[in-house]
Amino acid sequence: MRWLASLLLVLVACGESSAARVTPTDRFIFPASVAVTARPGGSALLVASGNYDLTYDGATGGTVLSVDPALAPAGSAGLAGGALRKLGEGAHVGSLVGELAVVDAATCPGWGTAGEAPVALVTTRFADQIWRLPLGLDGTLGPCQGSGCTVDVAPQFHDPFGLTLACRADGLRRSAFVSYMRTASVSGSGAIGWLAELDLDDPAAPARPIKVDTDVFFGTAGFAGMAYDGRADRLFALGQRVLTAEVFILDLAPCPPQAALATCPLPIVSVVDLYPALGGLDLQAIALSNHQDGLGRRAYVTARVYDPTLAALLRGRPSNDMGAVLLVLDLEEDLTGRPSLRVLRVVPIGLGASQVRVLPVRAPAAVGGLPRRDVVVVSSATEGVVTVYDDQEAVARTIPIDGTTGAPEAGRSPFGLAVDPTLYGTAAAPVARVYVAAVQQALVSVLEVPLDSPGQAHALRDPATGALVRIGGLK
Amino acid sequence: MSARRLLVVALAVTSACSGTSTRPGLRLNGPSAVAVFHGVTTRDATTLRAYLAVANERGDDLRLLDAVDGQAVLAPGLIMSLSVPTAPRPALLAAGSLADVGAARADLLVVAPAGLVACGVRPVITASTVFSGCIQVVGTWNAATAIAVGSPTDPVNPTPDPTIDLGTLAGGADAEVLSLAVVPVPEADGAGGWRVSPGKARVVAGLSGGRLLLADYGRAADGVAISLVGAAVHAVGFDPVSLSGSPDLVHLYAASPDPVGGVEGLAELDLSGPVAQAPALRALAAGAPTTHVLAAAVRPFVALTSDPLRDQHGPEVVRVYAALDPERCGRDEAVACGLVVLDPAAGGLAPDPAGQLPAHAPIAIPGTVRGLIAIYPPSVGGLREDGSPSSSGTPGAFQKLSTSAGFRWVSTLAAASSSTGSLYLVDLARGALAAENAMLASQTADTQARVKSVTASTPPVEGQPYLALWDDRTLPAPPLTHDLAKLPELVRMTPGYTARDTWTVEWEGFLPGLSSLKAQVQSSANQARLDWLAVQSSTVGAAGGEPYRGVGRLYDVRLGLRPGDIAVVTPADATACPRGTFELEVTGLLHPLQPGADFPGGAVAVAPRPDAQQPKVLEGDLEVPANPHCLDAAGRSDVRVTFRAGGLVLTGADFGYAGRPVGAASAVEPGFTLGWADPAPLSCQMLEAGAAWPPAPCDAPCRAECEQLLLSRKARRQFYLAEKCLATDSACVARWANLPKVDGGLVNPVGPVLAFKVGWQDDPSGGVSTVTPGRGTKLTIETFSGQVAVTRRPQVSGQATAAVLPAGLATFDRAGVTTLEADGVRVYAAYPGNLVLDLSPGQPATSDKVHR
Repeated sequence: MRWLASLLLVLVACGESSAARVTPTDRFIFPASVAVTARPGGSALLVASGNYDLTYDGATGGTVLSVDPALAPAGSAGLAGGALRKLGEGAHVGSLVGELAVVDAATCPGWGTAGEAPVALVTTRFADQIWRLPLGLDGTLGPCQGSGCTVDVAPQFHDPFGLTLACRADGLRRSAFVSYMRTASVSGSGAIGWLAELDLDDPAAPARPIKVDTDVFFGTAGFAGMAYDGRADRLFALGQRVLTAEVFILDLAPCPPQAALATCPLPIVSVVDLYPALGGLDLQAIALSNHQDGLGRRAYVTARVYDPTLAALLRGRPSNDMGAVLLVLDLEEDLTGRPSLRVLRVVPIGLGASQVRVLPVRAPAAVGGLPRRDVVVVSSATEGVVTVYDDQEAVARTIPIDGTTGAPEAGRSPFGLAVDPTLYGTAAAPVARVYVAAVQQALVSVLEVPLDSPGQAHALRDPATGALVRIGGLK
Repeated sequence: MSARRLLVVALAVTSACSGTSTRPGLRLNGPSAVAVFHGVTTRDATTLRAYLAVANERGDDLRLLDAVDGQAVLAPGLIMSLSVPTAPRPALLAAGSLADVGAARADLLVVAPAGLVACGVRPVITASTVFSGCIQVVGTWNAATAIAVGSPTDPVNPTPDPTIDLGTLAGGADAEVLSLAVVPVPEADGAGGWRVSPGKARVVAGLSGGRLLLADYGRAADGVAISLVGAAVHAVGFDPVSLSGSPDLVHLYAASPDPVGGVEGLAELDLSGPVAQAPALRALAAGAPTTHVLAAAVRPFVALTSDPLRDQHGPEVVRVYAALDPERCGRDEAVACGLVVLDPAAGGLAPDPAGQLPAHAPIAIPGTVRGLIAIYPPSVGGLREDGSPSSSGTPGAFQKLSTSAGFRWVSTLAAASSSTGSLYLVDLARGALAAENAMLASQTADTQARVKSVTASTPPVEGQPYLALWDDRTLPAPPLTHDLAKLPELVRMTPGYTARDTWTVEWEGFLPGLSSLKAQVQSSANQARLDWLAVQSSTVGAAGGEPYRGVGRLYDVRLGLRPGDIAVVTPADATACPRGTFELEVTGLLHPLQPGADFPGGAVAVAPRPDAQQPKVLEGDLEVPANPHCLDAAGRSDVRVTFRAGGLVLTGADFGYAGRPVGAASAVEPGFTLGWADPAPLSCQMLEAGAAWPPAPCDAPCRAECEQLLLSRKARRQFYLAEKCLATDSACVARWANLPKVDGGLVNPVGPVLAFKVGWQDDPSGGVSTVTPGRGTKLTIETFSGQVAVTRRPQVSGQATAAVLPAGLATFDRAGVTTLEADGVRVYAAYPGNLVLDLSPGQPATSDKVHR
């Protein structure tokens, strides 16, 4: 009978309701997205955890924690046992988080001048929600109070993922756009892609649905990453329909704070398909180059590459990837005024290409004084590597998998990326710090990228022990 | 179930499983590069064999394949292929012989990772680790087959570590390896020439930061191992992104996106000196920056012969082929994209075999070139110069090229891997893509070069004329015709110039790329009319950025706009223009910097078209013309615009804008010709490479000259061909009767892309009409080039698989080892989708293999 008692015990344990378990806020649990905001005396690192195995309650199993990313002992980086120096208690959000963004003066020009507090936005797919979490000026993030932390969206929209701010410098529109990965069925238009636009100036306003179709193409199955070009007031959104690789270009219109978002003009949409340039592209994320006089604008797009022949046979995306690339695209307008999005370079990167970020502008070249193209950081979740690409020299360095231990230096399944607004190193040799959310290792790794020699980019290590310095980690 | 029965079932299951087992494959993981070397491995620890090394970029190792029998070299456990761990992310491989005197010994095989690394195998990384470029040597002489690390502390037989850590070399800090080659070390032969220095090999690596590494390797003291003799980094001032050693032993060619000594093209480096000596450098202009280079010994085509399978070729010469940077070449540009052909002896581009163009036309490769390699005839299975079969040990002059029609004998081939996922075989002797089919012969009716069809549209309104062609062949009274059967014979094309395309000659046809564009129109100061129209939309000063986005450069001649064209305007504000879309006539082109201009891309001056030419709309029961004045007093207005030609316009679906044919009212009037013309007397600042915007003002004669130059560029030769019509193929003979024959065939004929004489034909009388055709009346011309390139891509069961992003290439004369003609020369291409394509040009694609 003892075996029967053991079996019953196991069954009882297995039968424990996940809804009864509250996600702890002293650790990251499948951290997927990160964002950084400046605070007095340093930075605050916001980490959105996804509860991807749904160990905890699905509706509130995700968390957004604000931590001090400085080096231990003052900050969280390298604290023993993966302890965190939190800024505020943190907030519970829905499970299966998508992208995270912070609305502050750095990301949304003019924000705060009228006393607006910074806000963290995050998408969660468990219940198709968009969360709007108030931040303290000191970077603190507390629990979400009441029901005012989510934005109303049409219930037919599913799987929100991408999140990009689109604030005009003149204040004539302050919006956030959310992309939906799954085809929504709205008003009977089952094959049309949709975005949602949030009015940042009106927290109570529901999100405005943006139907994305064009004169030349009608219908898409979902969107991944987006990027906003403030100089042209243009949003780029990556389509995810198989056998195409569409970049949708949305020419936005002003929408003054006094006006209700619903009354403002809708974007005008056009599209460029990258598939003819390279078959098998599955676009993931996009970032735009820094504006520098004398240099043409570029877009950096990550893409996973599947077998196009097999996909054509299956009429669907094959499960295996053939490779992954970073595409360098020409963002300049062509003769007819359309962004050309010509493929300038195809840079092989690690499997599972994910997020991409552009590092701050570099000083002009020492010889000749010409502006230099950007340094770009790309995560590859499947392979566990992060690539640092120098677009000036067209060379890349990979933050690799440790040859001895087999552990990825950037952590297992590196996905979310955030660039610290503070430059480290010296004025003569600035170093950018990049935070990488390692989804399957419950931590955030820290990369240092010397802007003048990005080939020396490395995961931050303890000078004394050589051990990798990370934020959080399994307890 | 009893235990015995369970056992039986289990045995059955396991036997079934074992029945499907095969010898382990390579287990590739992101193959990025391949190289063939001779060495010893666990597969044969005593005898030198040829192996294919495959760099696994995602696996941080090399895998080896026996190049003769195609079997993977296994690890000692025999259940997996052997892994040769390297520095992280091996991306480049190169191998070469040390040219030992006497018994053959193991080759030098080097591997370089992508980017900067901690140089070494499984190095311990600390906070102070400085990353560097790295070149590792594989111990090909030792059956253990691992990265050689030397034994510097061995008291008996000390050997230095042959690894090159660029960070430790003077001038090598932060240098990343961009390209890699192993070449012979030349030495003077005492007779004014050069020979291979025995027992040595030289590694050349292109480095970032405008640097080049030279490193000599030689036999170690034991006469077996390979050791580093000396290495030096030299500043060359450009990034060598691709390298190719010349068959002349002395020179090395480097492609670069940077100017070489102020010249866009290639660098020729003289490697006759020691590694410490900076190589002498000569710039070879290619007309644009380059991305890949190949130096090859070639026997150029001389003439057709009576043997349809083999041409007459000239003596062997060195030619250099370079892929142009696609950012700087193109149909509209001064140089077309593809492989340019250079003659190093002449110090520049090779001459045009047809004697027409200033230089050899680039060999167009579909997609973007990702790799290049020469394929020389095999030792067995080829032909000598005199046509006799080549024997083992003596490479022939000709090799078989398998085609859909059987095979042809060709001289040196090249394989070019492309972003399309395919390998294209290039017939270097002919300076063209190898052809799968006869281009002219009627038996290849699906693809043969010809005007496939010409159709005339029905006039939109009864009583309006057809577009028709004059039949000049019928003298002295050539008739007009729109008879479908006759029209194809009335359009001239030229094989080699005319691409596969669908052309449209249309009355008031759309101008390519100028449809449904967001635009603005501006009222005149007195608000009495519209002043101008520009393709642009306001950003309302977003982010302090540009005032306009979507700026179309209407002033640019490449758009083909000219006075007399029609702007079809749809106002954004329907309330201001209740009659909707109206039409304006383009009366002039306005420069972006003219006084008072507020159109960064230029604009067109406009005037309303007469009411009779406006679109008609219904107001109640009344049909009224659209109102082109509705925005006259509106200041700046947003509109959508589509431009149409003011008369006939010729466009190609692929070619784009192709000019403005003029209708001939009689047979004596000249026809229209779209063809290449010598650009030397023409100049156009707007079309110069890297021309700044806005350009200098360009008046009507200037614009006419620019358009002439532009169309001449676009009408350049597409490819070279030399072919005879079969005597029995009367249709072929008749089709090309008007082109001059050489040796009884067409050899790089010269002529127009298209030529015809159009007119309007009354219906039904068939006479010349004096009535203007209706909008949209057109002739549609379909042309076939005849060119079907020989391509290969990985296939499984006849279905392409994982054919994306081909990377490294290597070749191996397997027939020279096996003496089996069918083995031929093998070409290997690495695909990151975990396979290596293994093909022989002499065998059909169905014989290709895929190694995984």
